[in-house]
Amino acid sequence: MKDFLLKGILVGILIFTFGCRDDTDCSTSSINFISLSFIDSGTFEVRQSNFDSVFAPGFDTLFVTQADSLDTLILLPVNPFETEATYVFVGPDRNEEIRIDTVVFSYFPRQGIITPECGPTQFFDDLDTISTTFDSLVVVQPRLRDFNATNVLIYN
Amino acid sequence: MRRTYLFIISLFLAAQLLAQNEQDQLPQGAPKKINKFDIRPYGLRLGVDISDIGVSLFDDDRTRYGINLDLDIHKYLFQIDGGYARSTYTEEDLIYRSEGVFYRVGIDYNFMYFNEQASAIFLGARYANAVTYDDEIAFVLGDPIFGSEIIRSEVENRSANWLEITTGIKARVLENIFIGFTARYKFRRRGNRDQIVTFDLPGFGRTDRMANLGLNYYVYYRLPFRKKDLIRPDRN
Repeated sequence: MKDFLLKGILVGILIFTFGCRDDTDCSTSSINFISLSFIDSGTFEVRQSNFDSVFAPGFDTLFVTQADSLDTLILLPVNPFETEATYVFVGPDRNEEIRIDTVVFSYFPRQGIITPECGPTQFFDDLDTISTTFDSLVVVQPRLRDFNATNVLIYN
Repeated sequence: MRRTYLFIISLFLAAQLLAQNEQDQLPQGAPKKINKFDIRPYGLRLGVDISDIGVSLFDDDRTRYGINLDLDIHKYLFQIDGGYARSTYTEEDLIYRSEGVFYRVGIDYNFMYFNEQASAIFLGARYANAVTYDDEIAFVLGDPIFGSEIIRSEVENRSANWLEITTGIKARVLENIFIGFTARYKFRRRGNRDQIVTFDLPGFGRTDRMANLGLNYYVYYRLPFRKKDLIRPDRN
């Protein structure tokens, strides 16, 4: 019985020792940006954004400037302290006249920690549209996880 | 994946070592007998998790309590576990707490069902459920555009469940007193999505990996109901 116990305890320690080995990885799958792509409503092909500026009312930063107007995908930062974000898009329409559009998105921020050593992180899920002046806007990926994955398609 | 391999290898080693040991101790010339299923239990064993007590005594940031109850019927041990866990993680500008109760129910096959002293080497499965637990997190979040604020969230009465594959031993050391361990491979965790992403789930442990290994050491008291009358199949 003594031998039996000793071997059992040894095996237990073996499992415990290897089971507790930890490989710390501080990378996170979360980003706090909404990525938008623009689709030509005539040809249904991806087109350049063509906006002179995109901004959030109440904040000084321009998220998109004229220099970005050739990009086919733009990234809009979400406010981590709120559950809604309003963006104003300024740029020329098909007739080269200045047009202003707005979009109000809602989202669900969730808090967590990667590991205690790596620190906290936030996840943004359930992206949805509350209102928009664009003709057609579709949320294709409601979780903000990847800079290269389009969250929203705007047809105009 | 490496942990899974190590776990399986460890189980194999455990089975080999303990089975060999038992074979060495078998008496010769046991009477022929057929092990028919009998629903009448041989005994009831109540265990206290001494590893949890150790954690609670020596780690100010963790409190854990756990008990185990097994009913010995035929070649099987019907298991019920209950426990409480509270964890606090504190780093610079970060506090996370979780606290709650959990239970596990399941069944083990006892490879030493014929042991007259009611010792056990077992392999089985559990359904586990953190019936109710609370999460709390507070940290300072800085954003280059939207500024800096303290984020503080608390979610109460959450629940989650998972599955376990279990193995271990229960060895008699004194009359009706047993000691042993249960090793657990915890997987298939599911719970409600909420404002806090749970980091330490009571009963499951850290959730930054899909599966966890756990090890609990127990001291048991066994209440015998009747004498063991099963014998090894190769002695029939």
